[in-house]
Amino acid sequence: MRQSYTLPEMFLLGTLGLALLLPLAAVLYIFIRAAAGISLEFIFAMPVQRGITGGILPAIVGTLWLLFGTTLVVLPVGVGAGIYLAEFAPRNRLTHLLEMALINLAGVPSVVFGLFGYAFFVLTLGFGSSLLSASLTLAIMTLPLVVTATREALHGVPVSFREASLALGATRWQAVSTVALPCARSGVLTGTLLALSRAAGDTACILITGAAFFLPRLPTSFMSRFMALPYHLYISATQLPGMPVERIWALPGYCCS
Amino acid sequence: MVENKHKVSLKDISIFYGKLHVVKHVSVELPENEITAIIGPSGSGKSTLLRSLNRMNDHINGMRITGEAMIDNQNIYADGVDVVMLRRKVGMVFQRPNPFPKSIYENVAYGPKLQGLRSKAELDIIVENSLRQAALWDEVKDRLHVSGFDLSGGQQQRLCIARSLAVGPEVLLMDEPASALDPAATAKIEELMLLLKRTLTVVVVTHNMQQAARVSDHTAFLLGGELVEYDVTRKIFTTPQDKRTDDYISGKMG
Repeated sequence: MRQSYTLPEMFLLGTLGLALLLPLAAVLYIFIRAAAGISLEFIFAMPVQRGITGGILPAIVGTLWLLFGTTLVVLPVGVGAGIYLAEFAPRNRLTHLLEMALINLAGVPSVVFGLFGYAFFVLTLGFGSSLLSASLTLAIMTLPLVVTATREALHGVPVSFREASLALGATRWQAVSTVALPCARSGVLTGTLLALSRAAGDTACILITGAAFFLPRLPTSFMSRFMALPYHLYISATQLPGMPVERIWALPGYCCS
Repeated sequence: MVENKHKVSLKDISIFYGKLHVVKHVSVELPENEITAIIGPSGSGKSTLLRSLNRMNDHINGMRITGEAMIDNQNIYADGVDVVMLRRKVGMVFQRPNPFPKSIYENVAYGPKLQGLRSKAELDIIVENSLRQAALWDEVKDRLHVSGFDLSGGQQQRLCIARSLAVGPEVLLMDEPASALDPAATAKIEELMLLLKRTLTVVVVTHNMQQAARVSDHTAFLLGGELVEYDVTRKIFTTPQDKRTDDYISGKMG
């Protein structure tokens, strides 16, 4: 039975309280402010008058398409590269260097990737301002995160499982696919979801690769320009006089839910 | 006593990790259907020598081996030897029980499934036979689909033995299989080893000299990577020829 906490323990408990309370308060505050603005029409209708009335359907659909395109690239490439790094790459200086590089790349500000995406996908490859350019840019931004998460998850699987598998006559690939990967699955998924949620909330990357502020129709192909939630929020909140306040709050309210 | 034919024969085996010479010029022949114990202090190269027999050392960076390791008169380090086939023939049980995070059934069926066996009926038979051989069937037959982790340490180790047996090995390597277990569980493993040698050749690394004396037919004493003495277990423990062996088994060393 614990009688009382020592001073350092109380301090740590206090930090836990803050760490839980502050983000929770922020989310709650947004929901309360958003309540007035959210309606079925807001979610399912086309925007009118630069979004001052009407709904945000194209922004929701645009963001979903964006995530779909990003996932299509980042999941196979990122998970594959992570598996290779963790299970098959020789343990030498080059591999170590590569791993360090990936961790650093994960910290590069998204606007830098955005700029690259604009120069490479939009201009050089001629994809133009489109869902394709933006999805690929977001995929590049999130790749280091997914590779690192996959690698970490596989490193967490005990060596003894692999040894047991190999000793039973498994090839290295079989040991990975039948034992290591199933054990690491939840870690890989969590990492991928975190990366995708970062992609979903990113404004800088899509700002210059294909997002439009006001486009009252749904994207028809990956070559279309599109609306997206974070960019719509950014413009609505900062660049648009006359935007009803509850509509602004409703946007992150929808993003959060 | 009729000598069994030799199942494993090592000729001048040396193993290096980088510049480290871990096993030095070991030559020894292990008889079929017997239990051979490898004893020696920590760091004497026992496990390394054991793991060379199913080529588990291949996965260690900088490992180099010289000499000949013959199983059934075939050099397992010759070019063109299929390591996967070798490991089906030479099974291994590790120091700590390491069942997969799968059900008891799936643990035992794992090896046969790797080989492409899909028939439920055949798998059922293999699983039951392997668990019976490992003296675990009666304890788990009603809960084959619970996780292997739900078993006690001793049961987990017998599950790992059943898992190895399911592949149909001819040689079973055991790397201190009872060192993480309590005395009762250890006794069960030892009983089991005596049953297994009817059909298999068993090589066991052990720190526990009583265990070596109780179960093994032959004993090899390793010191600093060298094979100091190899003989019938009774002789090693009653009339060792080498002073170092005598010192070790009488507890003056290690």
